[in-house]
Amino acid sequence: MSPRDDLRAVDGLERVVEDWMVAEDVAGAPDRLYEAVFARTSRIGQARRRPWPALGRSAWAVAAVVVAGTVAIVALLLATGVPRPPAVAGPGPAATATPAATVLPGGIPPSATPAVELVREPVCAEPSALVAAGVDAPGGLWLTCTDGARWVTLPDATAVSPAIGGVGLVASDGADTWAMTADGIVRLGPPGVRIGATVPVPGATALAVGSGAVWVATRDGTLVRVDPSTGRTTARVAVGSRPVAVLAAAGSVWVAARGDGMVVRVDPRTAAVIERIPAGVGPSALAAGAGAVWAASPTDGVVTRIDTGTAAIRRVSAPLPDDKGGISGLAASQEAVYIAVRETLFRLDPATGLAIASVRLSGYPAAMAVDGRDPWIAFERDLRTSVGALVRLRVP
Amino acid sequence: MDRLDVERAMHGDRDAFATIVAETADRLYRMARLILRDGDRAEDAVQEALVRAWRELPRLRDPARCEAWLRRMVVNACYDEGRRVRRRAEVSLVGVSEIHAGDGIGSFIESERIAHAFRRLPLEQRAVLVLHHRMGLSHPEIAESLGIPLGTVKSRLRRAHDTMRAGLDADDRVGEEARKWTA
Repeated sequence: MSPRDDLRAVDGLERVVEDWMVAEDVAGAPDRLYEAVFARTSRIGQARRRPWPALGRSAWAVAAVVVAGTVAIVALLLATGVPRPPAVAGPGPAATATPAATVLPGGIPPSATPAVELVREPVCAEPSALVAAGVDAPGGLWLTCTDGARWVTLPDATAVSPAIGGVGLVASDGADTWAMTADGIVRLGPPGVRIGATVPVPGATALAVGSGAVWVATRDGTLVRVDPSTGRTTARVAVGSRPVAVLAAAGSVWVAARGDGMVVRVDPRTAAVIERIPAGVGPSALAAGAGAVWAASPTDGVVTRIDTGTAAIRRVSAPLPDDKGGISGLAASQEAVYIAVRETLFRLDPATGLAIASVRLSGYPAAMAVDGRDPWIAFERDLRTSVGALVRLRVP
Repeated sequence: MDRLDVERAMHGDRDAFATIVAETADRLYRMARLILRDGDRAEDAVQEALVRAWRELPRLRDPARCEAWLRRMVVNACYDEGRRVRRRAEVSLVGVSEIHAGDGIGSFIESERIAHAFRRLPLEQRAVLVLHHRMGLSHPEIAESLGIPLGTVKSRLRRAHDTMRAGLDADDRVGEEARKWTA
């Protein structure tokens, strides 16, 4: 019986899939994986241990007796009419103790009410990147899906271009736009067409456009400077392990070296590393806004604010669930900074990095960008409709 | 996995954690590689999950369930990695070196058909297929490993089978049409 015949029965399909997986499952973990894990874990500590799992039964029994005794004494005092101390004007509900897992860096718990949706448009099932084209005057968004990138007009997403196939993540400085392909980079032009041939850059992982060049990070830990007019590589600099995000902002090029836990600042003129800034266990997203460069490290929930004027660095921690993915999105503009932690969106104070508002989202954000003040979020497919959504929110 | 190693690692013993990693990383990597269909990305996902596991170990509630907890970490890291991977333009290219000399071209094409149908599944459905068909986990074990209800495991597995079958049937129809035109 051929595999094709097998498919007509559930058991047959299962056997075909099992046989295929056995044939595919040939390689074990490479040694460098172990080395990288030990190198990274040796640099970080463990999260604070919760006290209660460590308590034995006897300790719980003692605690129960103490609590019961306290309750009895308080009840007795109230019943006997002991005068109460005068009420002190307090800070109100904000002073109420909140479970640690839901407290933001700024001490604001997630709101139960959703944000106001200004726009909701159906898009591809699996969006993966969203980029505002132009920092100061964005006229549109580049939305990347599995079938290519689309140009979406602002402010209401009423026009969406056909997908430009074969291109992935898009980067733009407002005037010049480039995108990653399977084997390099290619220039794009609104409303969404390829211009010229692909410039080969093997192993590209991320790109940025700025300071008169296209900057491409590669899997071997290099940042490549490409001349946009000729397509030639004009400089290469080693930036560190696993560079996964690049940003051109404030006269520098910034690279998130996820494997090293560093944000690396590069001089665009000399293509030399200026400084390496610790930014959590594995920074993997960068954004520029409000006089700072922002880095998010999903694994440990660290958000790092690097002041581009004073070089001051401030780190804040976002609350993470115990065993789920951490920060799922970061976006910034001159007016607002947002991070997403699973299905909750936090608005950060641009001056301090502390959370000042939060809203519960309607799903898992696949990608984020900010248009001036408002965040745009691309959601993955709805299970009932198999359609993704592009949403513009107004966060209170 | 030795419970004592887990308890020691939960209290910050790096050697005990190294023992856990040595025992499990290979299995976890193979699982991630099948889900993501890419060795480099699987390496990234497992690395990220193990670093996070070290950090979060003190919060593990039951040391006896450490491996299921690690599996959940890796699957979640695969979901994150999968989203990140899509930022690249993913083009299905098969290198000549991937065609093993001893394989017949027929079995290679058959394997590519199944791989193609599998790649079109959402990551969540790929994960249940790998845990069930390759790792041999029962439905309750998958539920524990993914942190989802048992009913969701069953429906996700059913949807994955349906989608795989539909994809393979569609490929068959395309193949038949191609054969008619080339005959």
